[in-house]
Amino acid sequence: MGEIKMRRKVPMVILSAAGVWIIIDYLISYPVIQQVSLTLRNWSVIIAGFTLMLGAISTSILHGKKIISKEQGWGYSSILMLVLLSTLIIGIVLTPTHPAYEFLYFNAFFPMTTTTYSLLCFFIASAAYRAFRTRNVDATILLVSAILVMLRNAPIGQVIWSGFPAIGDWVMLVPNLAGKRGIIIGVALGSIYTGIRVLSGYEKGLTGGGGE
Amino acid sequence: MDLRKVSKDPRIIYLITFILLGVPVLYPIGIPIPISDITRDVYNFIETLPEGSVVVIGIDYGAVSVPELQPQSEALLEHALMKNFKILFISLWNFEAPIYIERTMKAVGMDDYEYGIDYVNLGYFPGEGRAMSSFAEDIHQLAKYDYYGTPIEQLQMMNDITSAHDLNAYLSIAGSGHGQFINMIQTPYNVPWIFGSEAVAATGLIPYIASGQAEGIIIGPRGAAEYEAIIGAIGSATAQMDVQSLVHLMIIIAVILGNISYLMNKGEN
Repeated sequence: MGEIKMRRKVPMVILSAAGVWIIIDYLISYPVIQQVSLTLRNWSVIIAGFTLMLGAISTSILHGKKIISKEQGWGYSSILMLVLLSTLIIGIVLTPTHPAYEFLYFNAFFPMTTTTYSLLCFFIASAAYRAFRTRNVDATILLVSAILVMLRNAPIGQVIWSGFPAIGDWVMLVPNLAGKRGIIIGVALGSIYTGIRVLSGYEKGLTGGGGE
Repeated sequence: MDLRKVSKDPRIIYLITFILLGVPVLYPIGIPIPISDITRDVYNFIETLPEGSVVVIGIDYGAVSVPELQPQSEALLEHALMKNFKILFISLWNFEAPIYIERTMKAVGMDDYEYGIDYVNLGYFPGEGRAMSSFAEDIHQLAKYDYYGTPIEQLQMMNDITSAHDLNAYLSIAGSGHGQFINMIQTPYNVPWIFGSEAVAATGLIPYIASGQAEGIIIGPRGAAEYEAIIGAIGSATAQMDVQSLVHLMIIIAVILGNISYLMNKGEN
């Protein structure tokens, strides 16, 4: 029990100390504080690079187990591992600027990704007819606003009537601005609250414990 | 046509969408593209920057955002080169972005400019907000080498560029993460900022323009097409506009027809 407490307390102390130091650096301009703060931030950039690698390692372990035990879908896992390893090896050995890497990216990954997202266009078109209903006042206002902004964004809007861009701009610059401003301020206040909880050690979820 | 049949079988809508997507690409219509004030503000701001200004072109998008954001990157790079800016390429949000930095440079053509003197590519740094914060405070401590492995001290252009204080503008073309850029770079260092964003994300960025934190925004492929028209470099965004116009119109008509069908059914019941 004592060991578990230490395993949670030590990371929390390190987290709080680093966080407070960076806040102090923002408030007070002093060379030693600045240099330590910059070093901490550069270390976190390096650690962030390792987390990218961690994702690849976790994926490899998961699919590797599937392949070894020949679970259902192990064939797809094999293809995934083959593509992952070949991209990794080509990227490391030949570098991402090499034509072979660009060939793999633009002739495999890019068309598959853009094709998958392009399907959304057809689903949205179908949903526009089958699902977007003016069931109540709120839904009607939402639909009308959406149509006005669409006519603002597409050049054909101004061809149909020269007033559409001005109305679309009003929707963006008045009601949208007001709503988004409220959301941004709300998110900022929430972030400050969460940050204070994390730095003061109340947010135990980060080290495996429950929050208070 | 019985509208209820369309509700039961969406393939009719899929077919119409497919036709409207494909035909204008093969047979362009040439629907005129009026220039909006919001895009012209971006152009006017960049025009106020003197020759030799240090400008960051932050390319931070992946494959899913390419149709909307790649034309913006190319148009902004064209304009920056016309103005003889010192250009610093960097990516601080999306790990796919370096490949699009290369693609943008190839598309526009950098043969008349010298690497290390007129432009530098620092590549991608992970860590999002942390990388942004480090970049803004001390570029040389974050980026000891450029994207191609050259030590940063050997790049003449970087001798006078050490932090965000040395930047005259940051052109941020990103699929997401704009808020963090504003928090970590623009506001603490008061860097003049331009957004390049997808149409769907633009609504969330308008408050930053209204508050004066950003000088302007290029919204989606329409904004890119307008920018291409302003600088006289017609490109891929302009080619998309006929398709965008027709498909948007189709969706609006589909919404109206769908609600007419709904109200008719409601009346019958």
